[in-house]
Amino acid sequence: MKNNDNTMTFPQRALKVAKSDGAIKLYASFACIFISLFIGFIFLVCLDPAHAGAEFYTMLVGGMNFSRLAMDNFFAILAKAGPLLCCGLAVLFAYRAGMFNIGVAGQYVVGVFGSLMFALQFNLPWYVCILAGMLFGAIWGAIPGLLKAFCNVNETLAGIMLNWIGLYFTNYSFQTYLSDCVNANDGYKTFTIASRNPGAAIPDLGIDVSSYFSISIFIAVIVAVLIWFIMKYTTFGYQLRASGLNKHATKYAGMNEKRNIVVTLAIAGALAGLGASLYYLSGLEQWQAQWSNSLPQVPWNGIVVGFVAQLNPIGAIFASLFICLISHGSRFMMQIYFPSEVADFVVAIIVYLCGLTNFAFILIQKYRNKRKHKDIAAPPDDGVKEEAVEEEKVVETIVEEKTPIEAGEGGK
Amino acid sequence: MSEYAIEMEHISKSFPGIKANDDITIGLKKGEIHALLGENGAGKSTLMSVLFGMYKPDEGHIKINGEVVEINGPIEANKHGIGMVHQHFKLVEVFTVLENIILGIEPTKFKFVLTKKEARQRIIGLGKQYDLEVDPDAKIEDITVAMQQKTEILKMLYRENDVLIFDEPTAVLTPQEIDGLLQVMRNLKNEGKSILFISHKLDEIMTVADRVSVLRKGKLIATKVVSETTKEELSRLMVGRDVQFSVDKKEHEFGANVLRVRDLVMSDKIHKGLNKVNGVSFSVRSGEIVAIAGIDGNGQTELVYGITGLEKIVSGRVAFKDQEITTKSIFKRNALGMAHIPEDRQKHGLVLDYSLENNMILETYWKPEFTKGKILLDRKKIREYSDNLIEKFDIRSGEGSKSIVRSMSGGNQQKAIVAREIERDPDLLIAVQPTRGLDVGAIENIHKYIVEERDKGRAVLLVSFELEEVLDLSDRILVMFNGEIVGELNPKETTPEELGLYMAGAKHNYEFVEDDPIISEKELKKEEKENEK
Repeated sequence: MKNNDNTMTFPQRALKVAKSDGAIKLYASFACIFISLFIGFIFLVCLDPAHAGAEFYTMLVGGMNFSRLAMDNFFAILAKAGPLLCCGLAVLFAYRAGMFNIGVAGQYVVGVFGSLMFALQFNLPWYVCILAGMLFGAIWGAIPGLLKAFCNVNETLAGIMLNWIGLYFTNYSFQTYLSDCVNANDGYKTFTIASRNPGAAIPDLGIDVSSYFSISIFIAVIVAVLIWFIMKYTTFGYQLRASGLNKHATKYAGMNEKRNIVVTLAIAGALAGLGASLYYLSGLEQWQAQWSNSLPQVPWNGIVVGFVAQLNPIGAIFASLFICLISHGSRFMMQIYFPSEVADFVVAIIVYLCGLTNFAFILIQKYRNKRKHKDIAAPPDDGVKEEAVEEEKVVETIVEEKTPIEAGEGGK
Repeated sequence: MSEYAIEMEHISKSFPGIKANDDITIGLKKGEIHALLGENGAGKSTLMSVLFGMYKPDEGHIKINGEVVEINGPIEANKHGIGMVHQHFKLVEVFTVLENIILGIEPTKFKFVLTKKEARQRIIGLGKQYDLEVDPDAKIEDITVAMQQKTEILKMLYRENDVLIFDEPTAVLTPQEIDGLLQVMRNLKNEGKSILFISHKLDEIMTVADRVSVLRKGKLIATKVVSETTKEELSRLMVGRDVQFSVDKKEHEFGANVLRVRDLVMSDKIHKGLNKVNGVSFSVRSGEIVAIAGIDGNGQTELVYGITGLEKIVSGRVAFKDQEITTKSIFKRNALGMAHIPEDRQKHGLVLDYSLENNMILETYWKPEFTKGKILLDRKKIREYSDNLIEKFDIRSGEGSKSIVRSMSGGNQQKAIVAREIERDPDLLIAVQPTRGLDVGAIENIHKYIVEERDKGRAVLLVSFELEEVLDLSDRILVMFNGEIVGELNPKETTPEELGLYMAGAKHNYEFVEDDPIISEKELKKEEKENEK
């Protein structure tokens, strides 16, 4: 929220910031988070009213127990937020260029393939493995890009199909020519990084605060800032946002539309691959080479992160932390009362509400508008009440507010 | 009963950085045609948005039939009997005329079975009564712009609106169609409807309106009875200074061919297998303004798409300066020095959600003067460049370079495009409808800029549907009809009537004589080799 106008006093400036487009997007995000938490709470009450309050509280703050013993919680959230943030960036980066990267899951899975292959098969150090994961993710992202640019295939269709192709390809690889990487005695999970190639684990720089601690969250945050910078300050970002806002104008201006589509989706794929590498190289989980009917959860949540953040890379940092917080916190809920899926349920509501918040805001304002009018309609003299006028201005900004799909310049 | 259908009293409305309406009071008498005249950005659109309840005025109120009312949106305005024909029609392309007219108030049986029979009768009746005959079963996409406009008018009449607002209705019509529309407006008036006519074409206001209110920079300057005023007085009131209606143009020699188009064929996007442009050949020399005249839809759009590279050419060749560019990318054409003021400014010309400064560098963002190390945008220099253009071309907006283009008025959007294209210092300027929707002051300026380019020795290809503009500006006129060039005329010797005959396809005599064939580099090399042998 930059404001170059130095002549304004602080309260004026604060008011201007508070009423700006970016701020309204922030309110909308918070509104959708609170409403979905509330609906989640109602859901808990319906299931078991006696324990709803306490357990809901646990879900929210369970992950925030920062006592010495529970430091693991805190660092587990950070460790999970890193990969999630990368997936969120993969979605919003493509979306800002006008493409819905639903293929993020496939790019993530192929990223797993790349990074684990280099870690467990070739025993290479962590940074090489990350680059391998990004490279494979980028290739997987470039395929729908090429199809869209040169064959006019919709990127969502190609993305969905490539998700499954990527999953089967990865699992097939780990069951056949990469079978050395998986432990047949442990349900075909890949070997842990620590047991096979400790050099491939994301380093913790010798800071021994928790087994979950690594530099992965810092890598992810740096990448988020980098993406923000690319979008705002580079010629490529300029072209990318322009094509997201008006494809025809970019064609008219002579921008290389086809190249931009491919490069954008390849970068998005690389981000998803980075997310996969950070997740599996920090030892949060092992890949299960026999799961063939479901794609991993992290990239899907990445879509949520992208939209809760209103397509802003910096916002995505906070959105990913929040989602990790509640999904991690839900683990501490008493399983006898509630399933831990409640957190997923809340996340799912957030997804829907994200699409609806802007709309809901308009409705609320319209309603308030009408009520105001009933109050003042009786003596409609020249001097309409000051207060009412103030109200209308707010309405105007919000009605003119675009949906996240159109809003390109958002949150600068 | 009040003498006035609508009175807007002391309306004020501010936006960040701009006072769009400043204490405006106008009254629309019953059964009159009241024109609203003003430059782009003078506040006409804001005033109408206030009337339709889309904006709340900061001060002031609206009276309908003498009673103060609150209008909270277009639907309520409709209930008060106010209807509007927008400049850009709000019609569903794939629906029929009938379906479009009843949309929103569909007559039904048992609440869900559509009954069109009575509606059809009414529409045909209204069409006869007001001379607005349109085939109710034709699809919108198949009928002409004028017919679409008639559909819009019928839509208002079907809803029994008594106050009709026409927002720059003649901008999209040919001269003959304009006459028809003005007649329709007179018919409506005679049937007791009140009309608010937003326009900046003085001739039309002088012919059809009873009274005229002039707005300038958000203020009401005067309300005049049309029969007691003159065109010159109105334009002075509107612009605030004397306006010159014709363009000063010096005689000079033309240079070498800058643009050569040979046997160009472009396909028809809607009717597959047909061609929209059929073997068009011509050249444009440096220092020359060549105007393509013709009625909208005779292939001008596609011709320009072919020359600028927006669409693929079916066959034929295009050369720019000494290079063949038939298959070159738009980027290369731009870099070679071709500038294009596009017909559809919002679709091609601008990224509406970008700031004005971002739009100013749409084609030149990659140039060294706007970048640091080829990758980073140099925000400071872009701002300087944009501020400079804003001042030079008098582009008005709320927040200068930072304004989002969507929030600017149409005329200022057009000025921004013209500024951007001319500032690129092109060798060829392709200007399609460069003054569409602009007021006399802005038109004068843009004409001046175009003639300046010509005098500097640039080639200009002007595509326009306005006969006056074509006759005023050009050094040579080519008339397009049905995808072909049917006539080459000298603007000094021809008359609007003669042009009209060519435009309607009644006359045809154009024989292109090849004097400067396009030879590509490959062909040159081949020739050289053969010569060596």
